[in-house]
Amino acid sequence: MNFRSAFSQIVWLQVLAVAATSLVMPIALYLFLERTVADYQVKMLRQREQVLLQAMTPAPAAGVALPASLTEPYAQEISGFSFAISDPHGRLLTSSAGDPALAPLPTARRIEMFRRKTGKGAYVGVSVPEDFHGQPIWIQVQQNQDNPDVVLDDVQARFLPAVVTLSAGVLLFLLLADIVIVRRALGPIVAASGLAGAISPTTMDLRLPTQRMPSEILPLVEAVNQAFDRLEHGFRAQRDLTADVAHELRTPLAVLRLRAEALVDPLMRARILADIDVMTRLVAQLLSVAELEMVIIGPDETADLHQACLEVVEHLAPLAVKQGKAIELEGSEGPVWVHGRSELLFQAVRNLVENAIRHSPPGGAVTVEVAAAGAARVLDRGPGVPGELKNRLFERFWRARRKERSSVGAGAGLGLSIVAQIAEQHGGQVSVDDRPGGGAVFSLVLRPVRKSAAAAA
Amino acid sequence: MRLLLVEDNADLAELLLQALARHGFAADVMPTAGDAEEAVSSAHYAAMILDLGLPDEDGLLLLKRLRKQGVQMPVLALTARGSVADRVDGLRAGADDYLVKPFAVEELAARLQALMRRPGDLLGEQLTVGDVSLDLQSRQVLVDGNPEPFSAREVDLLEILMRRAGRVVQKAFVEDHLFGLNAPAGSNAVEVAVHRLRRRLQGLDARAVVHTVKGVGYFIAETKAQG
Repeated sequence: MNFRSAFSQIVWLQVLAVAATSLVMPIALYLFLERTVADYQVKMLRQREQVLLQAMTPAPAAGVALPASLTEPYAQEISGFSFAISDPHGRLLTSSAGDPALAPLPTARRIEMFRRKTGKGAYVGVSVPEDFHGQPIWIQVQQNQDNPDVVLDDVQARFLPAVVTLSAGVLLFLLLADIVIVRRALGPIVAASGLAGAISPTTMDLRLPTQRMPSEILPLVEAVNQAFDRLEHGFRAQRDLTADVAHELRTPLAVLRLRAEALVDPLMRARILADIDVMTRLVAQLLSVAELEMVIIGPDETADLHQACLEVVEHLAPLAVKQGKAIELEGSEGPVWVHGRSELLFQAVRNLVENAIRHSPPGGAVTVEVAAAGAARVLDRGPGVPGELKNRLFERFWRARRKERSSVGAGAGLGLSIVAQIAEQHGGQVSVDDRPGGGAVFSLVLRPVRKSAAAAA
Repeated sequence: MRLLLVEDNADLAELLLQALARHGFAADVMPTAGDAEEAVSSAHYAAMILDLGLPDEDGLLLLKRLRKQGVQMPVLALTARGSVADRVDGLRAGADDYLVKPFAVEELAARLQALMRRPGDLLGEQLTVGDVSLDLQSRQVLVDGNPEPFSAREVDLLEILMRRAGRVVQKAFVEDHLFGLNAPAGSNAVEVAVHRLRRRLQGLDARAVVHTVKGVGYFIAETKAQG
C-alpha cells in the first residue's frame, strides 16, 4: 500500500475509524440500553412495593397483614409478579403464594436490585428496606421475565442486532461517501500534476488550473504558476535575445556581402566573401546553440538516420567537389530507425561532415557510413586529432580555445559542440578516434528503435 | 516586370536595387509594411521580396493579410531568423521561397527567376551548365556553341541532370526517369549511361562535368576554370 498517497492515507484511516466505531458503538449502546431498562424495572417494582407498604396493617401472629384484594392477583401470578416481606433477620413475615424468600437480603440497609434464575424462569427484583410502625422490615418484589406480559427484555434482545446492522450500514455508507468526497477534492490536484508534467519549453504557456482547487492547495498551485511565469519570461528573454542578436548581425552581414560582391578585384572579393562565410556560419551556429538549449526530444520521436545521412551527403557533395574533395555514403541502404528528430540528426551529421571536408586534403574523400545498429561514422584522411584534444574537441570553442589556441583551425567554432549537444539530447554519444592509415573517425551512436516499434510509427 | 522590395534597412535596400539591376530586375523599395500594402494595392508587381523584420509590423502578418486579400504574386521572404521552425512558419504564412541573410545575389536572382517562371515557360527554354547548353524543344546539345550529336538517352540524362545543375540527383530518381517501368532492376544500366555521358563530355573538352556521389547519386557542375 502506498502511504505517500494522501488518498490511500485518508481512506485507510477512515476504514480504521469505521471499524473501531462499529465495534465500540453497539457495545456502548447496549450498555446504555441495559441501564435504562434496569432503571425502568426498578421504578416499576418500587411502585408495587409502595402499594404493598401502604396497604399493610399490623397483625398479631405474623406481624403484618395484607388485604385479600391485593394478594389475590399475586397468588394468580398475574404479569409474573411475586413479593416477600421479612424482618431484618431474614424471617419471612408474609409473601405471595409459594415463594418463601425471593433472594438473600442485602447486607446493608439500602435499595438493591437482584436477578435470579429458578426452574420457573428468570427473575428481576428489588429489595427495599422500610420502616413499619417503628419496626425495620424488608419488602422484596420481583417479576418473572419469561411471562408473556413482560416486553422490556424482548426490546433489549431485539434492539442489539438491529443496532449493529443499522450502524454497520450507516458507517459503510459514510465510508463510501468519504471516498467519493476525497476523490472529488483530490481530483483537481491529480489533474494539475498531470498537466505540470506536460509543461516543457515548447509548451511554456500552459498553467495549472486554479478553479475547483481546494483552498489549502491553492497557494501552492499559484506559487508554482508564478514560478512558471518567471521561467517562461526567462526563456522568452533568451529566445528574443538570440533572435535579436541574429537579426542585428545578419542584416549588416547581408549589407557587407552585397558590397563585397560588387568589388572589382576578384582575389580580394573571394577572400572577403570567404571571411563573411565564416562569420555567417558562426552566427548560424550561435543560433543553433541557443535553440538547442530549448529542445526536448519526446520519447516517441523516431527518425531515419540513413535518410538524414543521405540528405547531408546530397546537400554537401557539390560543396566538397567545388573544393576538389569527394564524399561518399556507405553502409545500410535502407532506413535505420533511431530515437530522435530528423532535422537535428541532419544538423549533427552535417556538422561532422563539414568538419571532415574542411580537414581533408585536396583530392581526399570523406566517407559517411551508416550502421543498421543506429550509428553513423564520418571518416576523413585529414591530419587526425591529437590524443589530448580528443575529449576536449566537443567542448564549446571559447573554452577549448582559451587553453589551446591551436590546430583546430579557424571556423571550427561551435560545430562539434553542437554535435555533442544533439547526441546528448538523443541519449546518444559522439566520439573521435584515429583512422587506421591516417585521418579521423567521428562516431555518432544513437539509440536504435526496435523493428516492431518502427513499423508502428 | 517590376519587383516590390520591402526592406527597412536603407543600405541593404540600395545595394539590393543595384545588384538586382545588374541581373536585369527593376524594383520599387518600400521601407515599411504599411507602405508595402499601399504599393501592392495601387500597382502591379511581378514578385515581392519581403524582409520579415519590418519596423511597423512582422512581415509574416503582412504576408498572411495579403494572401487573405487574394494577392497571388510570388513572394520571396528574406529573414534573419533561420531555424527550421521559422522556415516552416514562413512557408505556412504564404511565402513561396525563403532566403536567410546574408545571401549571394546569384542565389537571390536564381530563386526569383524560378519563382516568376510559369509552367508554360518551360517550352523553348535552354538549360546551360558551363559551355554546355541543351535546347529543351529541339533537344539539340551545343558544346562551346557547336552542335554535337548526342543519343536520345544521353540527352534525356543530360536534361535530368541539368535541370538540377549543382544539386545531387538521386540514383533511383535517374533510374525511374531514364528507364521508367522498364528499369532493368538491379543492373548497373544507370552507371553505364552516366559513365558514357561523362566520357562524351570529356572527349568534347566541355566545361561541365558529371560527378558521382557514391551511395547517393550524380550531379553536373561547371568545371572550375583552371587558373
